Amino acid sequence: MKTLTAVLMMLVLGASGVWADEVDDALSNRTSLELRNNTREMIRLGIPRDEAIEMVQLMERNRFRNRAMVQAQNVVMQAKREGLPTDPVMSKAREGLAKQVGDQAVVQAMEQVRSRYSFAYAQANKLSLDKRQANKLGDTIAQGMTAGMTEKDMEAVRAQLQVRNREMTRNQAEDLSLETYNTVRSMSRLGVPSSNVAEVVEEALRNNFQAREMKTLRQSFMERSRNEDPTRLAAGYAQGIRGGMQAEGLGATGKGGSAGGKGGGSGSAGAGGGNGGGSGGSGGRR
Amino acid sequence: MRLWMWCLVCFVLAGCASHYHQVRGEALHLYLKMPDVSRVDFASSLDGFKIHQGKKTASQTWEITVPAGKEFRYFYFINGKIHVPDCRLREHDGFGMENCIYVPEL
Repeated sequence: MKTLTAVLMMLVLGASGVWADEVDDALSNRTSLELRNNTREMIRLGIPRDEAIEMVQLMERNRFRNRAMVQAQNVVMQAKREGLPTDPVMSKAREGLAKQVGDQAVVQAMEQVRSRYSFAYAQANKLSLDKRQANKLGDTIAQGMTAGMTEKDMEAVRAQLQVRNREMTRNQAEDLSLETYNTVRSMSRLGVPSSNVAEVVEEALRNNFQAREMKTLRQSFMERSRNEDPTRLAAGYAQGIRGGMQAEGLGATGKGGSAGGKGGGSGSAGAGGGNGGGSGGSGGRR
Repeated sequence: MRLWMWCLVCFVLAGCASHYHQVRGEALHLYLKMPDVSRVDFASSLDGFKIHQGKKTASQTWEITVPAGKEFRYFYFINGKIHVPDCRLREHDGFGMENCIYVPEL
């Protein structure tokens, strides 16, 4: 009888939350019940415990309003429920905190990331049957969009890939998709406008570029864009490919692209300049 | 003669570059030329945008050292104000600004 009473009391106390758990232990007394419960739910959904707790602590330290903190947690949980990666969303939160942009701006940016990955993963799932490949593709698509690619242009690239994929084995199709979106991402990161990027890639796909050739296109573009304006170079590539130029031919200086120099004098001269810029402006920026 | 002049131009440009990097062993060294400032800080996606103070080297250049081999996004603070240097690869940050992106293969 005594044992049964003890067990019943433990069940009641546990259900009532009288006993503090790891979330209660980690968060301050000021943290609202809603935030605590959300934190527990995040952990239950699979967000690492330390990350879920740290997110609340950081937001509180930065004086986020309670409503914004709850919204931020909801964005992360929504991403998780959709099967999307939560790291990009949480990373955006940390970035916003570092930049001290304010709680609503952080929440909006987090939601933008979630929405972007939602679109990107949906695109990828239309192209790939393999879950791991689809996720990798989704990440690449999302990164291309972060660099400036629009949904409309990404849809157009995907549609063109689907046409090509019908004529290929699954492995060939997945390779081509990955190389295509790698190229899209790289060109976009260099500041080439979305429509110009899409034009180059769609022309390449229409002209039956395989994965290897798409990779060659990207590599030659990256190399030539060190000394030529990326946007003008992209226009030249689109024109060259439309005229029947092969991937290898695009890499030759003066062919398939602008022969003019870059505006602003940027470049990669000197040690390790591949990621850094030059002394002047960076030419070809959005 | 042309090769010699080309080398000279590259050498001069290297000296003028305001933002560049070097990989030495397992470390990536980022350099930012920023004269007449008292403090340069750095934040990146490598560690959740924790803020790291730059080290002032000779000739008004600030150095940040991070582990090499991974892609990441980053920016600086110059005397407390956000600064995105002249870098080749960029992305929108969702806050109305941009970030630089470092890609190891490039």
